[in-house]
Amino acid sequence: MVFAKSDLTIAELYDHLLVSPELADLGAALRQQLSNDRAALLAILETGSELERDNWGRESINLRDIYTAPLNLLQAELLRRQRANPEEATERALMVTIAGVAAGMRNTG
Amino acid sequence: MTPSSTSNTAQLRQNVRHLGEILGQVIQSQGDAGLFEAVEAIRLQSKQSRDDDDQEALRALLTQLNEKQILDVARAFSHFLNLANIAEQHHTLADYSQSLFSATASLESAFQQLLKDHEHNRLNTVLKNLSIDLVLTAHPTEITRRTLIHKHGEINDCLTRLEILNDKAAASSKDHSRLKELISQIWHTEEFRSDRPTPIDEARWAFAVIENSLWDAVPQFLRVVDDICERYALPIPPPNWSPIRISSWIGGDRDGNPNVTAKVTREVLLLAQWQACTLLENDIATLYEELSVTTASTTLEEATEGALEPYRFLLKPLRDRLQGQRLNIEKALNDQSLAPVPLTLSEIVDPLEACYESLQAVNLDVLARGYLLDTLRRVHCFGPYLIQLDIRQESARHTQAIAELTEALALGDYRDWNEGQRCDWLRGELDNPRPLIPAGWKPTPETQEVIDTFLVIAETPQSALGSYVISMAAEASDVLAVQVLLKATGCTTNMLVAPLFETLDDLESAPRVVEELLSDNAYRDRCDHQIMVMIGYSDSAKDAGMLAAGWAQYRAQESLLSVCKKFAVKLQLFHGRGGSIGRGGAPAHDALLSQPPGSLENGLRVTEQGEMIRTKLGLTPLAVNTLGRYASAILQANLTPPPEPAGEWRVLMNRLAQHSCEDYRRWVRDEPNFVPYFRQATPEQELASLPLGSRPTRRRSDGGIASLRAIPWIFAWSQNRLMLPAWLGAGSALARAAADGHEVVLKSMAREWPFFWCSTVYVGDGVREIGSHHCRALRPLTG
Repeated sequence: MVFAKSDLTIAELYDHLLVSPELADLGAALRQQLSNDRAALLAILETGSELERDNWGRESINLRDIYTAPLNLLQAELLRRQRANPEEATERALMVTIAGVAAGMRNTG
Repeated sequence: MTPSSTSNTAQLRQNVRHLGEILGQVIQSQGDAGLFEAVEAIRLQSKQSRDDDDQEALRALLTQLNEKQILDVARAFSHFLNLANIAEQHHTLADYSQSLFSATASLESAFQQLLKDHEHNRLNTVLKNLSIDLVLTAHPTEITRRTLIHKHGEINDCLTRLEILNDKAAASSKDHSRLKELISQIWHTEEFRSDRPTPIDEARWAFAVIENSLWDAVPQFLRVVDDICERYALPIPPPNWSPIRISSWIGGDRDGNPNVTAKVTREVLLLAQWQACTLLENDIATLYEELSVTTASTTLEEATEGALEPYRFLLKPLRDRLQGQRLNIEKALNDQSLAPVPLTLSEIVDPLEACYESLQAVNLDVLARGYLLDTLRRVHCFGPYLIQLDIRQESARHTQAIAELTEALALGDYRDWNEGQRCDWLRGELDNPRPLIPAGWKPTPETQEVIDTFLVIAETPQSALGSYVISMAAEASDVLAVQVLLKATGCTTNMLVAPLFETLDDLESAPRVVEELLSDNAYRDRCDHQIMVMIGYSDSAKDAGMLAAGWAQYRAQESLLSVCKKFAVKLQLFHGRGGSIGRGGAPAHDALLSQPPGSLENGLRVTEQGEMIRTKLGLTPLAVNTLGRYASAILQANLTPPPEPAGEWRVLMNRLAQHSCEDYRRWVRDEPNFVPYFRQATPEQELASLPLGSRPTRRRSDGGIASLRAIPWIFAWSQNRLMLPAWLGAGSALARAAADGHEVVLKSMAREWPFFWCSTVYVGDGVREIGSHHCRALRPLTG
């Protein structure tokens, strides 16, 4: 289970901006599930943080987060705009954020 | 292998900072001070927000941007991340990392470890049987444009040269200004292609990877093996030893991609030959230049009629032949005329081997084992066809084709027959000497396309083709149907037909299906007592969740191995893995060691796709390192197999798989709001507008999770950062097992069992070779 690249705050923001109210509970429940699962896994691994023993791995993810977070925030907002009122300029910026987040995650599909 | 175990992460940090600063300068020098300040302010706030764990201030800052600024800021951050990736990639290639990541280091550590427990002879036997077949696919996961990838490669070269210099010399080096030039080019280049690539474009990219990286990487890797063998007193492999094979799906995989037609496949096969001729012509021209030597063995002297320069005497006609062939192919490609008869391997190999043997005979080893050896090895690996092209088609298309035939023959609708009836009829047809296709048969256009593809196979030399992969295969008749179509269209019927099992149900029935096929003597004879079976990682994970899918893949492989053993049939497993965890990706070494014992005995055949082609094979040294990692893991897995799961582990694993699959499906299938939620919360719909590949993103356009390809499914969840495919179902199953008193067993599984570690509790990011220290059984090689 790869938790290292998940981000609950960002996932919540997407829900907040993009998900209709009647589906909001589902998103909240999935995020709760992720937190529970993470705790269950760490109990089995007997370790505090998944990457705690891997300094560069941690550092690399932290470093990327600084750049990926603004891209995620922009993407959520651009998705909202594009869905409300599709425009070519919005779409272009959206595509850039998708490529950027993919670079931050270092793999795509 | 943890990069942190070297002190040189300082250099890595410095490179990341350096590249970031240059990007900042480039932005500033555009006279757009406002943009530079905005980017800086956002970067600092993002750092602060992360430390405070509160993104409100960052959001507030971003909402102040106008439309143009949003685009520019997004571009700046996106390029910064690409530059950080380049620096990390460079880190694994740098001189100071050789002891950690190089092929020499991987193999050396494997040899050391293995020779402690095994005789030299044993290691030598396993080494001789080494076989790595990398199958390049066009799966649309590569988001970076080719022109940018090229510039990224140049940046890597600059970093390499700059690190050799001291700070003062580096500051004034021309590579310093070159970096600025490259980053400036990147900043002023459009991120995306304006149109979707065609399958021909995709094939050209793959051939470019071979030209720019693998063409050199294969002989370089083999030289690493030579050196290690010499050092550890093993026989040095002969020049015709060819453990690496490069295959491709690009232009052959028509599953869900209507743009890949029979015509495209024919053109791609011809393009591959053109590329092979071009590359070989260069090599032979170089050898012709260099081998002006006059000393030769008596055999060669006689064969060359006493020519003064016997090597040139042999090489010149070969060079001319390659050149002539290349020109003929160019003509055929340009005016769609008849393609020339392909060259044979022996036409190319024979003169080279004659040179090699003669040079050895007259004690000119230094010449025999120089450029000539590299060339010989390239010829053996790439041959006249460059790659082996696989064909892939969906099983339903074959069923339809057969049904149209049975209807034309007034036998009724094949689709109405049960599995037993289908198999009986198909087996009868395989033994039937009369032609099956009636004269003047007019199939539907879809079936005509299927038949046309078989006709391309019929006209193509067998060694230019790999296997015929059937996606969504479920029953023995799916395989027999393809064999009947091969026979009906005049192909050799011993082409490897590989069923791809890619849902949970299909994986579970795979051993039964293969047993049904193999229990027929005629089948075993027809397939030369070998069979290829493809395991689909990504679709099964989308179907059942990663934990249940992982266990199903494991058990399918185990049972397939035992079925094939029973019938004395050689099993070649073909792994359809993606790069991300949800698609079966994990650090290569760990992933291989987590496979069932025996599963690598006939070698490794694995897909390499999209961005993984770039990150694992895109540069020569990267590819050499990747081959070293694969080779060492295969040697280790075959000599010191991972533990077979003991009874207790197996029982618990079955239970975990069942619970996790139930939990996963409860969300994904049974929750009516799930699909609408997925579409709203992620950019799944919007991804379709990205011109990433020639294949449409959906199998069908009627919506629903089942119709969605695995790639956009995972891509979308990685964008909104919920990363759902990487964990859903698994954690809740683990928690239940722990609560029911299985905690001690779970802990022992995590510590001792590479499969469990890799498939379930792997916690890295799927990119770096990190974290395996959690699993004791994976420790020996990873330090």
